[in-house]
Amino acid sequence: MKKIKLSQDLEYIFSLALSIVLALIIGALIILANGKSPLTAYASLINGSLGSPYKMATTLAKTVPLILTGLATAVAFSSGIFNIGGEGQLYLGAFAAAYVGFTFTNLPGLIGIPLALIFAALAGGFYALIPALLKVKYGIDEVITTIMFNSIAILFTGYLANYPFASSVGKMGATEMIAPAYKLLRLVARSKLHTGIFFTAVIALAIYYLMEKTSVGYDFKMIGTNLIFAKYGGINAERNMVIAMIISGVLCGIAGAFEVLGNHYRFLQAISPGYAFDGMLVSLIVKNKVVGVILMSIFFGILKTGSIAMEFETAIPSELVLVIQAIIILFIAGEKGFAQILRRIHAKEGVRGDV
Amino acid sequence: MQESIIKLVGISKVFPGVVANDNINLEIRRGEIHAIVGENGAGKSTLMKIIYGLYQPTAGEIYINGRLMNVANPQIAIKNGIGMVHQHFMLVPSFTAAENVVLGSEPRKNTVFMDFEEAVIITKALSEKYGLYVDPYQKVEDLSVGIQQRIEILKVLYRGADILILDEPTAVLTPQETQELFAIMRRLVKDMGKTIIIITHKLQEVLEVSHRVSVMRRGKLVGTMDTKDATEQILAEMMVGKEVVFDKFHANQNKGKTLMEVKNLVVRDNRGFIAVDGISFSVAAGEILGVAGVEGNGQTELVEALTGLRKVEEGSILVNGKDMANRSPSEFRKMGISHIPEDRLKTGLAPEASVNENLLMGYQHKKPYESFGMKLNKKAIYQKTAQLIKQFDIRTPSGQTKVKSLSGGNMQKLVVAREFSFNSPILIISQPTRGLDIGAIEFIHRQIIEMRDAGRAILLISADLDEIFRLSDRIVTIYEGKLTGEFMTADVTKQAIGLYMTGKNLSTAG
Amino acid sequence: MKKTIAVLLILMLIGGLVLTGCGKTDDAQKQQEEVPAEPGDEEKEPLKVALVLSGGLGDRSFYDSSHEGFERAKKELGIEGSVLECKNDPSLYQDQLIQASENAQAVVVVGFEFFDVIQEVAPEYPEVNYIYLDNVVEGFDNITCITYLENEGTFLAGALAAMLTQETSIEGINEEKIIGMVGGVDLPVIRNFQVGYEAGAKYIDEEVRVETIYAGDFEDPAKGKECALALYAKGADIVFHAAGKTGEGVFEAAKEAKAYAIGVDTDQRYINPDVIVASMIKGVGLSVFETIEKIIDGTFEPGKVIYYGINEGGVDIGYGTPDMKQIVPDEIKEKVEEIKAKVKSGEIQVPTAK
Repeated sequence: MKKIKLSQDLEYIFSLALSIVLALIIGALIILANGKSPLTAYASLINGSLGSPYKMATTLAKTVPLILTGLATAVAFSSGIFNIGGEGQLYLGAFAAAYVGFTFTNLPGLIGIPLALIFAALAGGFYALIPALLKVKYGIDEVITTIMFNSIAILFTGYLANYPFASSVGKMGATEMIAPAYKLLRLVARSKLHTGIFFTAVIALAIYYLMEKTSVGYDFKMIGTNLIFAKYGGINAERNMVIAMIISGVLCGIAGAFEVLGNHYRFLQAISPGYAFDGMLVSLIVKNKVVGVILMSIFFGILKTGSIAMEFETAIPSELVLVIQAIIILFIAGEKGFAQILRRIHAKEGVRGDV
Repeated sequence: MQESIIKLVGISKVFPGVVANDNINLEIRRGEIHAIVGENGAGKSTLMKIIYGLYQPTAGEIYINGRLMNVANPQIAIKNGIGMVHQHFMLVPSFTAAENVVLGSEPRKNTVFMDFEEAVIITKALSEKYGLYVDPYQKVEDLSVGIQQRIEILKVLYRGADILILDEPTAVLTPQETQELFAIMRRLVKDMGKTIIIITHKLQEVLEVSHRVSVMRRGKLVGTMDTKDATEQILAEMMVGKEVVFDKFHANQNKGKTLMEVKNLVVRDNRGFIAVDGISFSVAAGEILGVAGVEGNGQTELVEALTGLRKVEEGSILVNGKDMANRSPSEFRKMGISHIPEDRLKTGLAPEASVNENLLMGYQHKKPYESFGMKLNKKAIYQKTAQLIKQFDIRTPSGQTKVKSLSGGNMQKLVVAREFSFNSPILIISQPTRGLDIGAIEFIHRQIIEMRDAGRAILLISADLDEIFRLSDRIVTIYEGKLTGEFMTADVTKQAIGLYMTGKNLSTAG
Repeated sequence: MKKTIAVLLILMLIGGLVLTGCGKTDDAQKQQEEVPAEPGDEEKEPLKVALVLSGGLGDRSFYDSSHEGFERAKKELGIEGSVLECKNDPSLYQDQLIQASENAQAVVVVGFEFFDVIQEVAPEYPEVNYIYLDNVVEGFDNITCITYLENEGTFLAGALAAMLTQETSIEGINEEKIIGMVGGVDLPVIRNFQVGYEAGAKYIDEEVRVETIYAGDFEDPAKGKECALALYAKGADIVFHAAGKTGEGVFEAAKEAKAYAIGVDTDQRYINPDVIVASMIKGVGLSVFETIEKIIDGTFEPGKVIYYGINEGGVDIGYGTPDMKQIVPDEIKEKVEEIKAKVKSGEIQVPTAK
């Protein structure tokens, strides 16, 4: 008998691909229902996101915060601690980086930029530490606290940007601009793609190594998959959860720092359109796997950038991609169903080969 | 009596890479208790799941009441009067006992809302009728495994099943409870004309309760015979294909010094009630101390306290003279205490993780498996896991296989392999063979005895009196969180222990 | 258990996204239907104009108002154009502005948020004229700024509210001399609204107390409603809003509290003439139209900052269409006109937010 053994990862990738294809088909039907051509629409989506170096760079620029917040989610969630507070950590990180950038204006970039990143990481990490401690010390649900902490951080930084550190020019709820030395180099003309993407790649590699190749990652994953087992096996679950949460917060803080150092060059009151939540979606779709987060972030980046071009060229609202994303997630939620169908098909094939 | 109620013709079930059932022909007669025995992985559960509609056979026909049926799902099976009590319980932990009993066909108020009062009344009536006591108001998550199973049985009865499939029903019951269950089974068959299929490993039970018995081995049906023609020896041979020795192990030769001493231990359960009420005992190197007791009398909490998983209210746990009460599980492990937990799926394993990952637990921060403080060394790990898989005969396609796809016996072997491989001086072993087949039980028992002979101090907690008697050098009985008696195994009978376990001699045992 | 919660949360989030997505889709489609390419002047190439919004259409306030002027220009001046919305996503500001610059000769940039981005993009497209609303950028030849003296308009609104709150004969007006304001986000622009409003109220009566709450959002009517209800509960009987779409919640709250509200940006009385007594009109549409008109007839002077105050007809008070029942008594209206004249003449100096 021919042995058909499909690893569960492969099974998942297959059902994910299926979900994406189905979502795109449903998207096409919606376009069709609006009396437009899906082919033209998707062509302009692809062309708009990948059709030129500028467009590709714009797409990649969108993936930077997604990858970082996605990784933040992956680390926390696979360690069994649910950091929904990435947005707040991102805001604090962004503000911290901006603070360094507009305060220590005499520093050369080589010292200033790392300093800004460290401040951002510390801010994000510290802000994640509080709910983590509340959880392990007092059993206060981190899902609730982190959500509430989002509002606190966003409003607090909003206050800072409007009053004590308000920009002297251009009334707009933002801090002063960071000193030129802090500005990350832009890589492609007119696009916002900056050198932070290389740093992001390094971080992604480091997180991959941490989660897949080290005992720390092993401890994290065991806590996430079966907390009782992890405790029983002698893992200090509390300490590891706190560490995972800090790492998660640090990543969000750095994501915020890049928005300041590479993108806006100052802290804006509404600097993030919800990157941390998008990152969370990205990570959940790929079951908190590092490689998956990167690929899915790029996919989301393509959708986002492409949808703007699509809207402009074909007048199909860019919200269509939100619908597509939502459908993918709905299908993924039903992923078990797909996997089961798949297994059934394979079981039947097995019989045919056998009997 | 001779009329067939279920007839299976040429049933085969193939999973990717595995033939679970191979051309099975089986007839279940109306009004009989039909035992199906076989090693874990022999295909019994698969066969029963096919009858119950959870699996579709890849070939073959199922006749129910003489009619060819396509049992596409459990609803069809239930409609045809087939009910199943699973080995792994299918209860909703956050629901009460009564809610679980009626789940799926709840009594309704105004056709919309569930009638909780009615559910409680139904549950009470059922448990009285069949002598299976449960507290309808308690949440399942707070109940012991034994009680959870009662709810499972009640649930099937509530749905009015004519044919009951019981998958390892006695694995978690005490001898007394088992006897009660058997009485119920007999009454159901004799007075109410029901038919029962029972899957079990315990051959004495087969001989005691069944009318006919079928033996499976490696996916095939080896044979069916009238129970009156069968003996334990014959069945065992059919099952494992070799002669099995059921002798008692030799007693320990050289008891060493005391390694663990528990003094006046008081522990609360999840609801905050005192579950362990001032227990004291000690275990010495080279001996097995058996804790006999009816499920739910504080054993779970005792074991958890002794391994750092539960808070100790009062008392001390002296290990090598050091008080370990309220230390963390990792400190217990560092002090040389290994633990085989009662619930392997919940505590002893990460079912979603691979065999290798499950074997690595406890080694991940040790050299040579880890270097530079965090880097895992694949080569060393794989060598170790491969060796353990081989040594403990864990049957798995590979080390990368997820544990949840292993059979119960192989899961337990994995836990034993890991825990025994640490060479810890103290072993706390809880329900080591629950739900396992003879081959696995024998294997694990031998491992335990080997550990004892190597000078380990072993605390054995088991609801299976035979197991306690077979392995222990000394036995203590536990009842309502208190120890009610202490005996040398050689000097006591099962009947006497049974009485102490049920608290009847509490006053005299003092 | 936790995982289930997390998944549920996510699903709710998605649900929200889908719903808002759908809502906006409808709006966008409507816009589209309303924009059949009007054939322009045959002889002349029509001027290509793009309207870039930091927020999104459908706020019945600031952005819609700019869009009105844009549409009017399309109809009356025969320009060609398209709208690019950023939906308050800062990562899109630059993309959309570049997209617009690539495809148009004039770009109307609506939203103070474009402050940095416009300075980055404009030099890259020297032949494109940028008309930047709501903020001031100086020193660029191709950026023309339009800024509104909101404080002058809100001064009138504040005066009106302070007078109305003392007309206890009107049903729904209480004894207390308290009026309220809901701001969108605590931002310089909005604070400018607030300063004018407070000054106007004090000008009428030093004893009138002005309570202000910031909703922290321009897009969330639910928050707006909460804020307004809090103000009404404090004794305010008239609440002014400067909160974009969030302000719709203020009208809801007014209806519920059986009290009154003052609209903003456009004449919002039509939304609910029973509770909206008047609106502080910001002539956004007018300024957009007039600027485009100037470009076409060649009188446009790029690189300037144009102020739209009471003098320029850039801010005003509107009382809806004549068919609506008037709640504000004529004497008050007259008084407002008097104040307007005094501001025009410079007799009254309206303070500005810092």
